[in-house]
Amino acid sequence: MSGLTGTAPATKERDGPEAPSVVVQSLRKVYRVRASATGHRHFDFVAVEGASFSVRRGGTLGIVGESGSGKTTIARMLVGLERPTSGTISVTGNDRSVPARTTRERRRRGRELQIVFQDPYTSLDPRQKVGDCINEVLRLHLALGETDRRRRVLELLDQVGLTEQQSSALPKSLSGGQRQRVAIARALAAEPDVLVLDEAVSALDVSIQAQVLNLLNDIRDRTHMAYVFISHNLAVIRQITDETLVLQRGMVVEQGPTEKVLESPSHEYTKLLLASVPAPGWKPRRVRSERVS
Amino acid sequence: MTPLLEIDHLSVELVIERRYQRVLQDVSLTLERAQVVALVGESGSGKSMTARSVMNLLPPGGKMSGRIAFDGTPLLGARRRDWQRFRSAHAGMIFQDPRASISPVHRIGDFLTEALVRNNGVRREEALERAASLLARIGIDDAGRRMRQYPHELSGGMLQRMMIASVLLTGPELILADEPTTALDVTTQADVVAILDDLRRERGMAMLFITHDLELAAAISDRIAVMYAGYVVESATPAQLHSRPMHPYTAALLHSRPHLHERTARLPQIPGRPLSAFEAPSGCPFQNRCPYVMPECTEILPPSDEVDGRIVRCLRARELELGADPSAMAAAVAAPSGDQPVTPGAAGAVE
Repeated sequence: MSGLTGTAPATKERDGPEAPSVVVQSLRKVYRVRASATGHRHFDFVAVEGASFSVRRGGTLGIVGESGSGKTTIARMLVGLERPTSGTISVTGNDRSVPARTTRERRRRGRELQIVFQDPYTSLDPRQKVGDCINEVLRLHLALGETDRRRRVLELLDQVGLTEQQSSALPKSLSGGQRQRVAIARALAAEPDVLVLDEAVSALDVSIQAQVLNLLNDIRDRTHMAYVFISHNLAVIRQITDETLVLQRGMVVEQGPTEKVLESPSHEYTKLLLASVPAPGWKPRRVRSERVS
Repeated sequence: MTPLLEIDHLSVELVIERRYQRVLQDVSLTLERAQVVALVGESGSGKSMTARSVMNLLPPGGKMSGRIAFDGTPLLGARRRDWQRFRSAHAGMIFQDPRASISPVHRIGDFLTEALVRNNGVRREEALERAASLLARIGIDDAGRRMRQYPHELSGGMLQRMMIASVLLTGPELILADEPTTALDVTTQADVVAILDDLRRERGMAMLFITHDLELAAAISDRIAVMYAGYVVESATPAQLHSRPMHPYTAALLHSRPHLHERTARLPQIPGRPLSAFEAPSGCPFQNRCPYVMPECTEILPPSDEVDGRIVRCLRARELELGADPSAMAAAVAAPSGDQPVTPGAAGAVE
């Protein structure tokens, strides 16, 4: 864990592959939930309880856990879609624990960190052509001329394995895998330092998933971008991450090098997750009901 | 003895973009009593349509040809009422998304007992009692409260348990399960699959289990049929399939998955994307993505060939040595010796 505290105005460290891209300390998110549909009573629901982690340049942190464990809440706080109740987030040395106050600040944050959402069916504008959607990001974030932008759009599409013809296609004419690659190209267009991938390969077919995972590995090797990779699929986590954090009901129950977490887990919950993955010789077990009774 | 379910040379056409297009091609499958067959494949391969054809639940305008018979009685061409009787008395279907297939405005208890009361003429009180005891059996303690709740009050995993309970309650001989655990967490999946498997065994029910997860298919089934572009390209026992896949597509599927206990520098990729039957070229449907393609593959549709009790649709099945599933290496039985293995791209290997 880095000694940086997010509140201190840290200097931007972009050199050296070991410089931390993301530093998160004691992150906490509490939602006030109405006790009933009509009542005025509330209770606090703790979605994330004190998560701390850092990701270095070119590194990948995996976040695993079941639905409701707080994975997506962490992603949304990193992007700035949710405000942390307490704790600090800094990306390439810049604090982003409080919402951006100016458009300029919001743009700057957009250049630092981009996200790819789980569902490519709802995260793309259905009326915007693929090329335009990437072009828009380039126009907002980079000072490029019209022709350079167009060239760059095609480059980005090519990078994710889409053709020039597809740049004028609407999302509805693309398959799920192709849409997800558009979403990745759009995120890459801003040339961010950090890419958050929230279940980004979960909905893809096995053969497409392999293509996208290889692509992500290539991009990271080439650009030293840092990834925060959220998934419930432990095999995918093994393939792409070097550090892993296991969440259970908002609490970090285990954290460390991916190989260690998956090969010699120390927490019962991690063991349970691993034992539930179908593998050769695996027989389905009544995990839940055994625990209940 | 007649098999419980026979599907012979089933082809299905659906209206897609205003014209009839093939989604299933010459599919043949047999299910014995109390047997589990898993259908595995990627999107558009025809897994779901196969199950829906058996239930006559195709989208409007869907056309079937071939033969489907249940317990020796042909279903295809049967009257509407006979299909209805088959669906209500002999078969049950579990869908992928319980929230989309259970009515949100009825209580769970009514959903569970509807079939018993309507089709089997069981009194409502007795039906509720039976439902409660089955829920207790699958590890849901407060059955009474659960049955008074509405679907929105239940988690996805709990709702899927309810869907399974509703199917098991009527005691069908055949269960069609269409990706029943895909939307669930791994721990919930393990539990739901265990419940399904336990009760099915106990009651001697046969099951057609649709999944895209080869490991899950291996854990639950007696036989796996791999589908691609509307065809069954290979079918074998899980052990055979994992230790020695014979169709290049099966092998590619096994190899392109990431593995839990091993990180690969680069996952072997299958180029291109999965195709639907109507997009597939003439000849072998996998030719464009196959590393072992040869000129004949573009001309001849490989017939369903029987090799060592397995079915495979590949012209080169007998000569290719495709290698085991890497994660099953330890458990794998040594491939039968005799034939010389052929390396990919070996020219002139075919007589």
